[in-house]
Amino acid sequence: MKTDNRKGMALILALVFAVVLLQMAIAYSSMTRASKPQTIQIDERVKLDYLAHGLTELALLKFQLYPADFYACWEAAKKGVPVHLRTYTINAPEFTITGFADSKSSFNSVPINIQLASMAILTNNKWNTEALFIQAGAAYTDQFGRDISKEAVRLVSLQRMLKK
Amino acid sequence: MKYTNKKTGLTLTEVMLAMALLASAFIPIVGVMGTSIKATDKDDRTIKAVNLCQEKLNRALQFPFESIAVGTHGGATAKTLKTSGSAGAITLVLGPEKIDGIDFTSQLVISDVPGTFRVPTYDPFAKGENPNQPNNWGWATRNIAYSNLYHKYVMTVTWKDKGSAAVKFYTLASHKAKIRR
Repeated sequence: MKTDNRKGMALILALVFAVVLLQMAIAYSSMTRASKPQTIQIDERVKLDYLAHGLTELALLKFQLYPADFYACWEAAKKGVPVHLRTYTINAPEFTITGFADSKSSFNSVPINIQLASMAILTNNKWNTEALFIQAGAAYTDQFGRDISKEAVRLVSLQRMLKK
Repeated sequence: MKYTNKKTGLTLTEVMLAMALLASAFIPIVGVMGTSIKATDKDDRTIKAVNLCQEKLNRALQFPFESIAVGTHGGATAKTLKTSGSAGAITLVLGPEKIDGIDFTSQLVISDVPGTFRVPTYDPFAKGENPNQPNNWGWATRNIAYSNLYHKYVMTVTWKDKGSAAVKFYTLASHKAKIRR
């Protein structure tokens, strides 16, 4: 007796097709959820960069107002007593801003912490030149619990002068 | 005369059923595509706003300290700021403007950030007497208050998404100090 083996093939094909489509939809959905939106990535880079740069301005202002004290702190640190340099720089309360909330947007409004990372004098003995190195960082924890941070560096050429 | 197998091939019902199945499978796909297009348009507007905000804040930060007064500039009222120098003058346009068919409004708020500097100071005479013993340099910590030396710049750009009445906003902030350049 001859039987038709193709009976029910359409149903199987349709089911296979439906399963494949469903898998594609699930994969697409999970990819969308896992990937961080492009706007958020741009936003993180931009807002942290501006804030870190803003703090380097304050550090440079302090140095311009009180250079002799910075040089003394730096010299003391070089001679094994770094506590005063830390007081002038990273431990100074003006260089720690916590919970800065002005950089906000419709899609990302988290408080940002800004902190001075270091201030140092770079010397080039060959050319007899000096530069002030200032580094500041800005960071926050995003809605997924990840720590996002960005650092800004500023180099300023120095010229020591004796004022009468 | 040849006998034909009438069971081979597809009946109209089978074809219709298959088409209905395919059509029903394509409905969510088309829906996803529509959502993606909307999301892309939304992202495009946001990126334009971020770039605009960045460009305007960059310009504002290039102005000499105190050349833009503390207060609110732009917003609903258009305002153009210019540096007074003849060579390489900077222009900053604030307020409502249309870019690529999208209405954006920009506003700059400048405020003074007073504070206190913690400065460790030394005694020059003590340092001269003990040059290699920094602990004996007569250290003291001074707290020196300052104001009108450090300003906060907050630039906000607002816009609306297509088909939405809700106003979206993007804000960038930075600081500028009165330093010798």
